Amino acid sequence: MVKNNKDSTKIVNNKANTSLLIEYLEATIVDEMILNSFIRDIKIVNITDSYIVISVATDQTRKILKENYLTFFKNGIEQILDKKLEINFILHGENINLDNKITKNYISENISSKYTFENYIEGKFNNEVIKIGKTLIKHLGKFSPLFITANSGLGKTHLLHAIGNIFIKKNMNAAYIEPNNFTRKVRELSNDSNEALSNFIDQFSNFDILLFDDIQNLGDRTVTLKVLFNIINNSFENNKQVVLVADKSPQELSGFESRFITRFQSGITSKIDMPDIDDLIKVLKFKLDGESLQPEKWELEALKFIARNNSTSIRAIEGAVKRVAFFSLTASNIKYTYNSISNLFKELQIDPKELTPQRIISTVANYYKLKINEINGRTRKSNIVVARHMAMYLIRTINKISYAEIGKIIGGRDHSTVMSAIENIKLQMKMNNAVKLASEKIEKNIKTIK
Amino acid sequence: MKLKVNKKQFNLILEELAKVINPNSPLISLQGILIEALENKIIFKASNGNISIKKEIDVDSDIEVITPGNILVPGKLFKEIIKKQSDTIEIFREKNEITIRSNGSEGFLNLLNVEEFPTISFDKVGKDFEIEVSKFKELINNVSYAAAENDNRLILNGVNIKAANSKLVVSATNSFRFATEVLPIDSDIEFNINILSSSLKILLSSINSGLLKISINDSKIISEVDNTIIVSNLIDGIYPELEKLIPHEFETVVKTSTKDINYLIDKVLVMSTEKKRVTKLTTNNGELILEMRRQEIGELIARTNKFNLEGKEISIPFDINFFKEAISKVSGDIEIKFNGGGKPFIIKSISKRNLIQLILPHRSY
Repeated sequence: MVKNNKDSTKIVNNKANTSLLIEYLEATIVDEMILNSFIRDIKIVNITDSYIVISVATDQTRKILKENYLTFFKNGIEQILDKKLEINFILHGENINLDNKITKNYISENISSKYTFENYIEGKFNNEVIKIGKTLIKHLGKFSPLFITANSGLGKTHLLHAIGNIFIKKNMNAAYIEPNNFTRKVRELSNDSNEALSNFIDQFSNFDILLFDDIQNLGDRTVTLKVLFNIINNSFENNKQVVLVADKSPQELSGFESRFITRFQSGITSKIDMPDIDDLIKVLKFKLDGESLQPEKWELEALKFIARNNSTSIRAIEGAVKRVAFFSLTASNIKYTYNSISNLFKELQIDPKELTPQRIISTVANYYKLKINEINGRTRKSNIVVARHMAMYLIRTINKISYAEIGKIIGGRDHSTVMSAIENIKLQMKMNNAVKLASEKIEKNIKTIK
Repeated sequence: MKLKVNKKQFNLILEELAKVINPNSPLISLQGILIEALENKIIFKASNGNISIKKEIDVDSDIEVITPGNILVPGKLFKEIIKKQSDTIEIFREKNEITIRSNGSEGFLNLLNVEEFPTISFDKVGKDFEIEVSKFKELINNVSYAAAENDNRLILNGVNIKAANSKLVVSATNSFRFATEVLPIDSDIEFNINILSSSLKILLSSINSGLLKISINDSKIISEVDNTIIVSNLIDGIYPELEKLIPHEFETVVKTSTKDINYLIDKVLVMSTEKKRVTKLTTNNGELILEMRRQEIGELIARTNKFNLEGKEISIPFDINFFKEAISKVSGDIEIKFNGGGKPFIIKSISKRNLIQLILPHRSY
């Protein structure tokens, strides 16, 4: 990579010389079409004692100029600079390294300063990853790779940038890599040459920390994965840090060979949990503050309302906050009570993602005026058994998960217990209306934003 | 809404209604009793989702409506509270709560949501039919024991009642034993319905004596007695034709009495458990033997000679509980008729000529 000694005189000289060269070529090459297509946007990038670097628009341009007009260029340069120089054509944006090898900058430091740990809300659900993220820099490379499992919408990208910013603050290099760009570049370069691909891989080793987002998308892309594997290994050998984020744990990733999985697990693994109601309220208050919606004036029930109806992602909370913000623009004296806030969401359908088994259980508990742990517990009291069976039936109907999974959720029960409970409910439904009406009523409650 | 009631009368009404209620109903509002107080009468409603009851009580000195209104009270609790009050009770509603007050005590109950009580039709629609209560009760009691409970084949949980050719035929089965009885009736009405045996039980417990008036249509059976209407849903479906199973010729007839058979049953029943209930009945040289065996535990054998044999000797295994239940429905002299050890046998008695009970044998002992 040419060290850009941005000597202003040199730039001015390069510019001036470019104009002169173009003038010369315009005088000697008569073909207007050639001049327009290939000549007029050339740029002299660098001049040394032995060679001159000229950048052109496309590869095709480079080819044509090299094959047909090299003599013109050579003569022109000799005339302007009064020396015979070797000419290197590169493409705009490329760089040429000290050994006169053309390389391209494939990755750049693209950490956003917007996302730091200062504006990253900490809750029970993410305090482990935050702790690890903040201390990574102290143990450079020792815990590499750091593999974080997190569902979408829970702040993983923000986390990656925040970690990157810690490194940048200490004058180290950090790069954030997004999977689609990565895959595309690998694909392009693998069509080019092996050399191009290994240059690509080498460039990654310049960075003290590499932050890869959403790697679950890379499954089944064998070439891309091989490259990623190389990059991680190189970084590890150089005591640099790699951070990987996916929406599944390493064992659950599909399309990855087992050697990748073991590599992913060879450093440290952590996860961002689903936030509980306290976490959600914490995040909510922060977001409300950001929109100047005075969280301290909010009734607890109003905060809980938004939290429990947007419980699956921070993004959902942000959406709800934006909705409140929008309506506050028009309402002059909005009261932050349960009634007024829930009214803003009355017309909306609940996001199907929110229809979790947990929501179902809590709605059932509410309907039968029981506690959630009574439903999950071992008691065989008839009134509680009715509620428990209803919860199992509704989870099966709405979430369509297996009996074994339902059993795990409801107090660690066996799949056969769940199955006979659900069969019983189905039989009762045929025998009398009570069960059918009750399940319809409760299902309605589950789907209502309340 | 405000009522002033006499405890005794009010209590009787609530007892009737409570028979229908399932206190653990999956539908919360059906755990309640709906009380609609109008100016000159009070309408009470309760249901378990299959059978429902409606009582219309005219206002009088025992039951006064001071202010009309509708409430849905949690049935069981309300009944228990009323039971403990003294003679004259005041009941009035404030918002979502009622106060129950009488001399010396006071109670407050949260009300259920009236709007959530399902709409139930008590309209008398269908073919009309009358039968003496005592006769109907006996008929049902003789047969309904044989129905299944919570069988996945829904219709087996019910009792089949059909009328044709001036005859009423009532049948029930759990697919291993069945009972059927015929009663001549004074009507040319025709119908064929199936009703959950549990609902039938509730229906019968709610009617006392006199004439039972029933209306029957495709989906419901409605009975009216005095100021009470009881509606029960019917079970959809075609009842198995069990009469075909009843043999008319027999290789063996054992004539004995319920007393003597019960004597044998009692002796061997000790060996039975909920799951292991096979007993073997054998005749041999003037002896009637009932035996029960459990692997690695033991064996019980009971004998009697108090019987008469017509035809071939018999040896047949079957479920002892089914046998005991069937015997319990009859008394005095009985005939047990067999067709070899692998075919169903029937029990008939002089005391109930029109009742036939059939039991399938076990495959082996």
